[in-house]
Amino acid sequence: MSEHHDCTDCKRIFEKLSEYIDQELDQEECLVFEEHIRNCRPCLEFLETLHSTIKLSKQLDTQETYRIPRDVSLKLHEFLKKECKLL
Amino acid sequence: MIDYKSIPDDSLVAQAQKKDYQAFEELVKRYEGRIYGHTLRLLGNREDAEDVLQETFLNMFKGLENFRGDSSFSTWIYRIATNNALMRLRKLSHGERELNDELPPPESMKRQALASHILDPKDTLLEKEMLQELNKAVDRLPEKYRTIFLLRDVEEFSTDRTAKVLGISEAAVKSRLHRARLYIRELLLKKYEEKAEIQ
Repeated sequence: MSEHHDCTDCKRIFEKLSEYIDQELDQEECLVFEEHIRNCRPCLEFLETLHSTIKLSKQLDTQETYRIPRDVSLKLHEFLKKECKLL
Repeated sequence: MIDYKSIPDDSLVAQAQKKDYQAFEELVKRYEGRIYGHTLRLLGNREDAEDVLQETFLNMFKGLENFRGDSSFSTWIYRIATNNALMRLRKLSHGERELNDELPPPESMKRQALASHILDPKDTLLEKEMLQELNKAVDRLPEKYRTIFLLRDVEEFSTDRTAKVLGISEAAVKSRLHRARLYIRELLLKKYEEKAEIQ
């Protein structure tokens, strides 16, 4: 860990990384953020690895495991037909 | 004959509120896949996910007459499912998760020099391996971080919608999501550093 990285600016940037990636910073904050990143390689690399983690996470949603199996769907509809009639 | 498939959610809800069972069934068909995936992710096993799925749509049926549309139907059904899943999780863990529901402080800016390509695999096998590690890392997240991470980063809900589903502030969503991402990033990198050392 470099000395440079204990600086207040880096810590402030560190807290804003997710909001920057999610495009939730206002224009002024965004400019300050980008100005810092341009001149700070460690922060830029941290940003890149965090961004890659997020991109990878989005792929969890396309995994087959999370599709509803036909038997689960059939059971659900039978269950609801029976239960809702009783109400 | 009414083509229920072409009717938007809010009109289907209105129909279902008038006791039109086919409209209710169409809403179930429209959301069962997403809700099943959501509960399976939160609970981690098919049996509990199935139970919560059934409970969720039954709750929806019972609650329809009081649904006023203050939030969208989609947000409402996710809120029911999330609450049911979290209640079941708490019951199953007998409070264990609550005992350990904080994340360790992030290692700040350490490990920043690691190359980003480690987390951006181009090779399919490596990507599969990374996804397995990612799944394990997500499982290790305490519940209050895990739910937000799953909603925001996996299911791609907006901050606003996540806050509505969970009934918490947007600031809390943002802050917990950031902590969760840092924790997952760190676990993944540690894993690959270990691997690199072995090789």
